[in-house]
Amino acid sequence: MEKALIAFAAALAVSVPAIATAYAQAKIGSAGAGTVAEKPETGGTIIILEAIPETMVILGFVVAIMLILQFA
Amino acid sequence: MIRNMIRLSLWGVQSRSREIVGELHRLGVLHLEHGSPRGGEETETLNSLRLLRGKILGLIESLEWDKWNSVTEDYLLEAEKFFSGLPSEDLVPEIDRSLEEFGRRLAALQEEKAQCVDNLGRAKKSRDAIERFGAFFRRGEDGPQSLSIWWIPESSLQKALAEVNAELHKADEAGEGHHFLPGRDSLGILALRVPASCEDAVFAVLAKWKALPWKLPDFCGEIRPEESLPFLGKKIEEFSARIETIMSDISRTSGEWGPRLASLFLFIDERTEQAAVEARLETGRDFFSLQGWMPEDVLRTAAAHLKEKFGDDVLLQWRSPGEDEWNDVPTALMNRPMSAPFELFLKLLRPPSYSGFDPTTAIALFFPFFSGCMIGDMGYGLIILLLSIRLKKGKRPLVRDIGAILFSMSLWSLVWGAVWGEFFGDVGHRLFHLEPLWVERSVSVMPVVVFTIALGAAHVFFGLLIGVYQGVKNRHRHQWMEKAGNLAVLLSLVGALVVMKQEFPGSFFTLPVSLLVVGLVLLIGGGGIGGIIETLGSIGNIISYVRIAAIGLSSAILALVASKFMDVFGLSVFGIFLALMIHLLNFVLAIGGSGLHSARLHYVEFFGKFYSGSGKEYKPFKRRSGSSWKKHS
Repeated sequence: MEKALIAFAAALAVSVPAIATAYAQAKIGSAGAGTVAEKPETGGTIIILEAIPETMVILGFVVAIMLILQFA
Repeated sequence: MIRNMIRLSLWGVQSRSREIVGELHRLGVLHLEHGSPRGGEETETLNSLRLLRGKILGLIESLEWDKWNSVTEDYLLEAEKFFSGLPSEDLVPEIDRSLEEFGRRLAALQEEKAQCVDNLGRAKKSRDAIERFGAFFRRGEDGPQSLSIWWIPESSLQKALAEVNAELHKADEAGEGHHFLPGRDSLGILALRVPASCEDAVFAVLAKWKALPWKLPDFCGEIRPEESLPFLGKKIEEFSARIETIMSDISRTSGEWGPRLASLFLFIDERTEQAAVEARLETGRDFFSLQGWMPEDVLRTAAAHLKEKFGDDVLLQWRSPGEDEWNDVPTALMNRPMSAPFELFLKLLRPPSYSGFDPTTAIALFFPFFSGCMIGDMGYGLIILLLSIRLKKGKRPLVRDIGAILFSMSLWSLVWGAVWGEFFGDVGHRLFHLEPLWVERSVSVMPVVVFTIALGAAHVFFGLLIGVYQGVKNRHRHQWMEKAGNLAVLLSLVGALVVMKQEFPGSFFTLPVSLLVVGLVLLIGGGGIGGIIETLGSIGNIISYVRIAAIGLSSAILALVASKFMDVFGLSVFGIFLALMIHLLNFVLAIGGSGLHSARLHYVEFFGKFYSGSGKEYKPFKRRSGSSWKKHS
């Protein structure tokens, strides 16, 4: 039971930031597509902005790994 | 590396200004500093050239010709040779006259084609309607009958017919015969047969209900609808044949005249660019002058060439830019062939300032290293290697650059594949007993995570060091203090971690604590409270490098899944197919994901420490190359 809870906690640590990242990227992506259509030279900036929210899920991944390695 | 630039001033004899500007255009090394247009004769010439250029482009578009890639330098030389014989004042009117006749003939053809397409559509619609009324037309009635066809709103149909029948009843005539064809927008076609004696009364009723007479197209003349089918069929054939002939004429003209017009367009385009420069020259009574920037390494050659060509008719003077001019100097990059393709990454941003740092070499070192670490599979590395060799032979510079970047990525993928012991996942281990040189990343996650964080720390520290160097070089006290403080605080944290982990005596804490104090002083002195926040951001930046381990881990596990399919389904066609599909997916994700994330680590985490992107792009006044011609299409 304890192991199952740890696994669940690790899954939550990745999935919640993943949902948040997806939400943020969807918003940035749609706005970015509009921007690039009007100003193609902003493509580089948009790629950077699109990649910024991924840090959330990476941190979630670190937390999940730590949970599993420390407690499982 | 950012090339050293020279401020060049050129004076020339007014009578040779066109020749000198033309030669500078051919040399293609001077980044001109334009003044505002003077007006007068030069501006008029420029405007007429622009008009002519637009006219030629319009003709090319009318011909639907877009094979700009097929236009070579030879076409341009031919056009240049042909038109260089004309005196410059006659050039525009002469070309304009030639194009006018051509344009008139082309416009007449296209107008006829449009007319034929329109007539064909109307003929087809009429034929379809008449065919639907065929049975009604053939039905015979006693006595003289009046047959008419009407457009009528569907909503009025029943009421109008009732009123028509009432009129007929009043005249003691038999009832009407009709056939209704519903159409679009609630408007249908009504064919109506009534006794000829009641025609006027019935037409009046229909007019009251807003019905309009339906007519055959004008080209049918006086022909009656019920007899028009064979005529319409013949006309449809005629129109189709004529459209085909016109289209083949246009296509032949396009094939024959497209390249000629394109080379003429390019010739006029070059003349327009030169005229735009001529219109902005500073002129005296007998001389003109212009200023611009030129890379120092090409100065001698360019100056010698101009002197040889124009002798004493041209005077050149140059000097290095002063510190106060650094913001105005365009940034030209020059890197070794191995790292030059990585300049592609800077094209997505504004260039670094002239006094800044060109990070191309650093990208060339770290980008393939990071992406290779993520891919980390010798099998995938081999495929990327083959792909890169093919791309490096491409015709377009962009494709060759991508090929070179993939080549570096593939080499590091092979190296990291050996480190992790992966060849298409665990296929290498199963077939050749391949063992990892360090750890198997799908099993030992923690060492890889720690390694990537250490890698991130090194990369971020390097970025901060560049930031300190730039601050010192440009005498920006706040910049170097903030970056140095940031670096010191981060180093103190690393030092404290090492002391704790290695269980050094407490006195060893003196060094990290001292570093922390010095760092905080520098941080607050350089960036105030914002500096402290940036340090926190830098810690996040370092942790962000864990993505290298995370993406690598997912890639390794996906490759293992492919092998598992083989275990489950055995050495069957289905099992092999599924395994190949998973590997294909993994390969695409590996290239896309590793490239994108490595780029992000550079753009956000690394560049954020020093890159300002406040430079001006070096745009020499030069002839267009093949690839940029396409932009006109």
